[in-house]
Amino acid sequence: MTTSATTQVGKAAVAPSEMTKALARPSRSFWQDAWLRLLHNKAAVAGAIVILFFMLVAVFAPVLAPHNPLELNSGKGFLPPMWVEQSATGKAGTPEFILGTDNLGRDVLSRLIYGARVSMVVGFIPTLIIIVVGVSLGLVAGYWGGSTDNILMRITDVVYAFPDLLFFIIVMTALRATAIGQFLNGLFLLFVALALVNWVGVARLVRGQVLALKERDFVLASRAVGSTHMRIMFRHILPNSMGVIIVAMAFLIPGAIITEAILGYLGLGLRPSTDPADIFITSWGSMLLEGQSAINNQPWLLLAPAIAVALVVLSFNFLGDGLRDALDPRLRE
Amino acid sequence: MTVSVPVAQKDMLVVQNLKTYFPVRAGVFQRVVAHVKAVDDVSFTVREGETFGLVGESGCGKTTVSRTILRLIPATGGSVFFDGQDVFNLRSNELKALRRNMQIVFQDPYSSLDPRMPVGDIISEGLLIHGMKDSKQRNAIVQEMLDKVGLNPYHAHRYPHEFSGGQRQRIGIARALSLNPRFIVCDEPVSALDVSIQSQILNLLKALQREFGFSYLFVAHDLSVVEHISDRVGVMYLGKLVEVTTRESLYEEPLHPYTQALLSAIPTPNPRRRRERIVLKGEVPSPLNPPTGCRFHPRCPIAKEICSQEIPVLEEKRPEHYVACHLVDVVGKSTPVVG
Repeated sequence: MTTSATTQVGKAAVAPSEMTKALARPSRSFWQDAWLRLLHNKAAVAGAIVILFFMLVAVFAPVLAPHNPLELNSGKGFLPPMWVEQSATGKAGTPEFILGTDNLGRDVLSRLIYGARVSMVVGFIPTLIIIVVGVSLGLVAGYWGGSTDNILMRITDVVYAFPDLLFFIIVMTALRATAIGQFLNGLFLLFVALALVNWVGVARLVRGQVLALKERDFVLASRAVGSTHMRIMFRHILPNSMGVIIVAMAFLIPGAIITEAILGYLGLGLRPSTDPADIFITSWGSMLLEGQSAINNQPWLLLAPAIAVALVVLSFNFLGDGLRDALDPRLRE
Repeated sequence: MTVSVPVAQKDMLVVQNLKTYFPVRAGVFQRVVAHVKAVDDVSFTVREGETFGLVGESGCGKTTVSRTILRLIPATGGSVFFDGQDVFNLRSNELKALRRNMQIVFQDPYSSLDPRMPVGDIISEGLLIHGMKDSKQRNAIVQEMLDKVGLNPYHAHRYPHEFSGGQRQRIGIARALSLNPRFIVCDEPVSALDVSIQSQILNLLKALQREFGFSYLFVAHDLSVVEHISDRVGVMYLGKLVEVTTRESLYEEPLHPYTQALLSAIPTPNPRRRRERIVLKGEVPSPLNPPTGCRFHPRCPIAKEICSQEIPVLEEKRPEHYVACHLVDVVGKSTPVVG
């Protein structure tokens, strides 16, 4: 009773008059506008659906995988995918192993499904660390300027100047045997390496954004009414930088997935597990490595993970392009 | 229509010898190699309830003056008193309290409103900062302010991009009004607007002043706009005030040669009326390295030798009429502008 009465009063107080009611169409915020623009972009929506699909696959891998990815089916090694009637070595595919088996008779589809876990985790977790670190440092450097800015920017120059891949290879090789190199089958070390290299790009991007925004009159206006620096940073500058941050994120994720695949292929990524209790059993990068030796006679071993990587990366790029167009309409055309 | 200012009106804002220099940095270590003297020794007062117009061409430092007074830009020297309170020597809580009384309306209505905030939040930001936690109370004030500036209540939920330039400027005015200030800086509030909208905004500003009785520091480069709204006018050239007087005497008897040249450049509506146009030679010199003596002397049509040697002081050459020029004869006693 009481609640409905108060809502009634509340509504009556803000209800526009009859005349203005006709004019008062629903107002759309920037984010609602951006969302609608994104939904109109078919490639971005398709990308988002593919990404969502792979995320679900990663989470529900044990349910979806038709076989145990570690199970060695003796005598059934190198089986081609089910639709191949005769492979180079004269074997025929069977519906039991949809995408065939590898040299040890392990089901390729199941391994591919488990590999999605690594790609998704490698895509998202380092990116989150990168965003948090990069945005914080970029905000501080851009807003406070002076020597803080100078020192931070010289550090980013140094990190930028170092070749990324060389850094990954050195770190993954040098620390492979240590405790952090062992943690999560080496994935943790990969997260750290990715974060160390990539935070600089985000920090620079955010710094540039902050430098431009802090000179705008609405920031001065906010100071003129007495806002604290914290309020200006978090209520005015950060919300106005969210667009570029989200776009940067959408392009960092596929970059990390590709890096994992490259390192996996070089044998420096996730070390393949034989323990069924592990969450991360194999990665697409490791599967590429395993598949390359048999490229002439068993091309499916290489093609399956390669197509999976390409599909995910392409989807992220489509989504990233869509986000960029949706969040910064001026960049279009 | 406009009320002429009684002489005995109380001073609300006193600006004394205000200096704002911007350092110029160069080299690897970003050392300060020079200063841009954007505002150099400027003194004037704004009285209770009046509009003080500040005119000058682009880059003469008028915007810098207004922002330095509000402590949006750090001052290099001099002092500003608001109601006897030293604005440059305040603790942070005192400064915050002062901000309620001194507000600003910006020139560019597109950059002065946060594009990610609904209009209601923009207008009520100051209320929230100054401790009005109750959103219903804030809403009520937002509605009142929107009404005062001629917008509709439902506009509070809209975003800035949904408004025209004139409407945005009204939102900026509503934001300045929300804290119920006693002094508002209008930093070229109409120069970004169409001429038809300009007069609407000017009339709104005047009507609000009549209703609330606050003072304006009205910065502009358009002399006809300043004539329309000001009680007294200060003319700036290259970081210095060259003439301060009432609107009437400025437009009837401009004394400084720079002011005379500016006034001769106002277009007249009557095409047949011939008027002598004083065309100034050359460009405004760089404030990085201003001319010696009177800063106007390289372009002054009547400059004498003394002008390049001695800096003229702003003196009361006629009653209520202060001029910084060696060549204007003193009639009566001379007193400094701020006493």
